[in-house]
Amino acid sequence: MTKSAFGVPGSLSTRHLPGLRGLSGNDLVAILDSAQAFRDGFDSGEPVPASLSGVLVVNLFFENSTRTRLSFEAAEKRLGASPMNFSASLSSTTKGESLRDTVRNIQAMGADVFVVRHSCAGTPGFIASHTTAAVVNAGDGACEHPTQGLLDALTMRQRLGDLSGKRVAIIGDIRHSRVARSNIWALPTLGASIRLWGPATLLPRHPDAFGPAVTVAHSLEHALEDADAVMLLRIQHERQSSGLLPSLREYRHSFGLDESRLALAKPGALVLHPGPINRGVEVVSEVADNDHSVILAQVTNGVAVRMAVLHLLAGRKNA
Amino acid sequence: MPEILLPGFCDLGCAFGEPGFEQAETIRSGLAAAARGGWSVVAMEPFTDPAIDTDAQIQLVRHLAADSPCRLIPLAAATREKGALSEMALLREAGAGAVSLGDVLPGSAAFLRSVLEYAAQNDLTVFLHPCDPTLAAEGMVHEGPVAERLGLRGIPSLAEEIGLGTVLPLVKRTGARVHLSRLSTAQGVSMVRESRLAGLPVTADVSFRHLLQDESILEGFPSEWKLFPPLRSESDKRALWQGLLDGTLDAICSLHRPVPTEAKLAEFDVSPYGAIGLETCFSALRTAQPDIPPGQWILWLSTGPRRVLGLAPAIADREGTWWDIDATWVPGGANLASRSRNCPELGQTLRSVPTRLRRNGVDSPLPDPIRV
Repeated sequence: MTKSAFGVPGSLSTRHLPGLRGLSGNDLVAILDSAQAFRDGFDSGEPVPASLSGVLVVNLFFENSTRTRLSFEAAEKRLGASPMNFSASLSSTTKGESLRDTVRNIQAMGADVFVVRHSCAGTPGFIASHTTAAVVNAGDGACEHPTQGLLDALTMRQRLGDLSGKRVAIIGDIRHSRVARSNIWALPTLGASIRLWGPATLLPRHPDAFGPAVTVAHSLEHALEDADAVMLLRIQHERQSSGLLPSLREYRHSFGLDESRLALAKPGALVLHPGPINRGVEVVSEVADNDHSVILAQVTNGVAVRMAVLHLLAGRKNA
Repeated sequence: MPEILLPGFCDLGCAFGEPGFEQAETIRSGLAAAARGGWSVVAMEPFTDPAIDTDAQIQLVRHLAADSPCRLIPLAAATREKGALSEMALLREAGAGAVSLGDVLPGSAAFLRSVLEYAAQNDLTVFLHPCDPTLAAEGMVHEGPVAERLGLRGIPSLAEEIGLGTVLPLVKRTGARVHLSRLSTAQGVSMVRESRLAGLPVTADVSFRHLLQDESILEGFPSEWKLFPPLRSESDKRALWQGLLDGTLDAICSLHRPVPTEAKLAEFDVSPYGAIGLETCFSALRTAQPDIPPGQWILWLSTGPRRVLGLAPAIADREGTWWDIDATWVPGGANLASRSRNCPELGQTLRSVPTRLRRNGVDSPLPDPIRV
């Protein structure tokens, strides 16, 4: 595989990745193509450019995360970086240090890239305004999770080909989901349409804000009808205690994906989930583990996508 | 163009930081900012630390404001600890101009009724922002398309509608005078219009920024525009202007809320609400709407709010400000008397500069004149 298959560092029109909203179609496709090249390299064993060798990558995680952080670390190490991990609970933020000061102090140590996860929407953009390092959003509140959106798009593209004209159902707690939002911005850019469904208390109140390619279905059946892909979102247990959901039992009854419901979608429809799965709630095990499910492929693609993003945004050009 | 003399403006509900938050604003710095914005009277909100809820604190505040060319009318907190009325009779005798419930209504309609009954008996107007506390809880911006795109928790217009639905029937039953601070919704304007036609003793104001901006300014999470109530939709903004034009709304206010710089330099979620506004209010309005005649500004910024406080209209010669209407200035740095710099107009070129104060027929320079 030629180096050019991975894309050229610095060739995107953006220095940061705060989200997929507003990301140009060219940049989106460039990242996906680069990610595919990295993914192909996992199978072929061919060496990848060590474009992050000597690049100081800092994983700034203010929210607990195992999967996303490990995925980013795997990507960073495969590209030759020795990442630094920042944990909010062990840091000076517990002593009242502001986020701005935290970032500026770490920047002063020579950070080249910040990978940021934070509970407050807009934080990656805030950090980008206070640093010269590149900033990659690993999840900010309910706003975006761009690398998740990218790996979802890549996974669908691998199985479905060109996504133009494809129909994707997203089921679950849309209102609070950064994964849903990132997919909502990316998939229509690639030509797909989206139908949303979930409990009324967890659906967006202003779905028109997302553009004409995104609609709220009338029912679960309507959402699933002729879908090329079904994306399930994790139901957080605290939604129950906050008066938004009567019980997980009722969620499973009304919204859980089982084989009979999946049969409403197109034959061969994909089943995606950002993980971790609540088995028996969002999806029954039989569906989570069957041939429709691409959940594990999503995880592998996640490493490839994060390699692509880091390589293109912050990689050394002569690696 | 020659300078013009306008009667002093009157602000209904600015916040200073004294006592407790002096790093953001003191009474002295706040009144200096007010004078530079053309205000000759300001009604100061009582939510300091401690809150201004005793006659002794009213006396202290009046003492601290005594030497200023801008008159300070203290609003007293209408309540003390949860569920306790403040000593309204004593507060009134000490010089409180009215009592205030602040930004959200009490959780209990029964208690709100008690507040209004007691205030009515003590001939005190109750200032309140009609917002249902449960619908506003955790919300940060207007619940609308922008909040949806950004994944931010929203405060629906319904919060103001439900708040008014609680307040207006209580006004009818108790006969209390209520001033509705900082209306922000089209539905709110409509409900106030109906209630005034029905003869209810309510008045209302709107903040100048809610006339000039809407929720679209919040794309990109600019914390300088994080205000309470939140900036709402374009149609809400149009309805607020209509409310001013047809007399439903009595006044424009500054919504002056000083916040230390370091508090605003934070993630959007944790950044406090508020922006300073005393010094830029009139200039920003004139810059955006240069064709509105001076008489209309006088009605909305001076006569109307003074009537809410029970004051006769200001006579410019006795209590006025000279304005170079067409000169321009740039807010920021030494060009602001406020201690705080949480000002969305920082760095912008604004039209209309106050040049001198006129008090009892005598001109005097502004404290810290503005550099044009």
